[in-house]
Amino acid sequence: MYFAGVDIGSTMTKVVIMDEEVIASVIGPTGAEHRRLANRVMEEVLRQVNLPFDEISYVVATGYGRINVPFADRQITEITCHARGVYSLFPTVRTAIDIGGQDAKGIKISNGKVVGFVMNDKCAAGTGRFLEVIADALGVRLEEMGELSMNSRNRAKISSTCTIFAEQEVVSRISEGVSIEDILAGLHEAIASRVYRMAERLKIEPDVVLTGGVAKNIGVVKAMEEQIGFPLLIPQEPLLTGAIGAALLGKELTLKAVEGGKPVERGTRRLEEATFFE
Amino acid sequence: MEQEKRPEEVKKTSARKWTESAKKVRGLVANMYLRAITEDKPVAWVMFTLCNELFVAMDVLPVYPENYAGLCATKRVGDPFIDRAEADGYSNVTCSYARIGLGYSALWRDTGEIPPFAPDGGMARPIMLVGSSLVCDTRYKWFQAFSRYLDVPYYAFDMPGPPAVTAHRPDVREQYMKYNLTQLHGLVSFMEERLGKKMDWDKLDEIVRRAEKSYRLWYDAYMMAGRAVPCPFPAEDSFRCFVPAFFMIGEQEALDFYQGLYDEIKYKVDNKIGSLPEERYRLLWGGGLPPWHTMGIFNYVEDRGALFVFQSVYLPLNPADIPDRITNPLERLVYSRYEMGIRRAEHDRKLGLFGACNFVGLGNPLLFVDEFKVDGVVMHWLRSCRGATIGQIYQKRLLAERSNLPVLFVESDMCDIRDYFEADWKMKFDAFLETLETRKRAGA
Repeated sequence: MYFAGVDIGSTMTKVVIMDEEVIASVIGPTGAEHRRLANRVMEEVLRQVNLPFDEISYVVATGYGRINVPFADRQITEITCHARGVYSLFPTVRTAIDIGGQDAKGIKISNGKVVGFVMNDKCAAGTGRFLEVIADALGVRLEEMGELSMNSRNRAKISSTCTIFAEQEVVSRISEGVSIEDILAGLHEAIASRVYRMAERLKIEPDVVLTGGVAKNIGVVKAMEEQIGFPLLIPQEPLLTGAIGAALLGKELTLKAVEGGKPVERGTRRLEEATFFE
Repeated sequence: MEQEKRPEEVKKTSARKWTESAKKVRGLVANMYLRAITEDKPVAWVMFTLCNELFVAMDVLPVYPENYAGLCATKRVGDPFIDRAEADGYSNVTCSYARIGLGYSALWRDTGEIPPFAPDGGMARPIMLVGSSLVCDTRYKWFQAFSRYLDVPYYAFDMPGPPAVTAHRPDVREQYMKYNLTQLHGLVSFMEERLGKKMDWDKLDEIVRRAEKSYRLWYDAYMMAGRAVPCPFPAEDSFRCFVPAFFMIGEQEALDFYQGLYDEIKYKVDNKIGSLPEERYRLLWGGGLPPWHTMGIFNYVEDRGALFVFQSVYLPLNPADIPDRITNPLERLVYSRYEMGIRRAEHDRKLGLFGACNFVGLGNPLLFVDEFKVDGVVMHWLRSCRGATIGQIYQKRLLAERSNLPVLFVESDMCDIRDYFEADWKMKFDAFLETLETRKRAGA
């Protein structure tokens, strides 16, 4: 049997197909148009493994866009899906921190179950968007920010955790002659500090797993480790944990129904574009 | 011109009402503002100060800008008032109750007329302003600013509560009661001077005793509903039904209302008539004022099998039995307020907490989680209300230590819709309910 997890985040859409393990995955940008066309991402991942959609036993959608996935059997929030996905990769996890495109969340996990969670408010500081804005202001690519910051010799102090104010602060640091590496190191410290303060409300306990696109930034990872005081575990592909968790939860629901001799409750699946105003 | 800005019609955002009593509140509120405009009686703008009885006794119609701000938010017409206040330099983190009232006053001063889009005909022009130190710090300056906008005299009195750790001591009690009595005498003198007539003490006595009966019914009704399984009176209804107690207490209409509420809840409890067919999860609204701009969010939660069976914010305090030897109505007022305050503080003290008798007791959620069989607690961080928000992290820790209940924080504001993000709230509620389901299955 095959199971699919569809994670439509604010910035990226992630889809995985699993049997016993992940056999295919696609990560693509979300955006207004792509949100509507999540079906195409699904079709792309099916093409990878040459499977017809009907072969997928269960589809769980998660992420902010989960409501508008016409081919999903069920919607489950990203909190539950991330926790399940992270637990499957790191069974010793007690705290998961996810820094996505427009939100950051901390999840307390016990035996694979969510026991508490916190999220940022609607402010973009402490999220991937914060780094995108600063990358633009500095004229560096998002992907190179982490490595560049590792060359810092004298980390700049970025006092503001507001994205807009931080951008202004960065411009003034540049005019003061501070190196880009030092500025980036300061920014990573600022983002790590903000996320740490949020997650610590749950009382962070090891093992701690960091996921989301920002987990690919080595500068933020190091700054977070400095704040927390012990090393972080990072999945091989930190963007996929929500989709993996979604697929696994779909699998559990299916197997539970089958074992109980009950029919699997599926949605009215339509592998087509999302319509938002039905 | 600011005053010509009229909010567009918006879709209904209020919550469905589960009790007949809750349905009556809207009419009471509308009448409160209408009579102030149409009746030939003096009007006072008053803060929630726990002394409405004095205004009733002096035939003054009190109008409460706090309540009016909530009304504007409920009808989603608060923005032009907020914009006007901010245009005068008030920060966007100043209490949104205050900003709506200040914007209202500024618009009135601009044109000499009640703003045309003011709901329920607007707040009538006052001849006096009365505020106190009760609850939070914004209140002193807020009414002082009203006074300048409207050129109306303002009387502020002090109403301190002692620290919880000493409130029970007879010497402390005596000192505070004496002081509070002096403050109320000062208010009576101010009113007498403003109105050109003397207080009728016999009438006040009758009103104070009527208010005591109303408080008792209010308290008994709310507690009975919270304990009941199934619960017939969810938080969105109790967020309505506190209105007569806060803003009409002492009036016969308030007493009738609470008698009706008590009877209705008792009937439903006796007959096991709940709000939902199945209470999959019983929740406590454990801190922070509600989002008046989007009360329909309570229905979102209910549609998923969860019910807020109680709110620990606008709640009645345990009424005191006032000794017969206290016959002076002002002394009865002071005694009942003090005793109500310290009953909560006493509970805090027994829990080892260090709250104050300021009616915002830190231990509030803990008072209810066991008795009301609650599965989880939701708290609302309010961007513009420090008083109701500051202790919430502490409360969460207490809940974690003493009850192991999960707590969800949601963020926005009581009146300023700009701070509200509906998709975020819904996602958080969904995730919270998933967490509760997991706990339930695990037998936590």
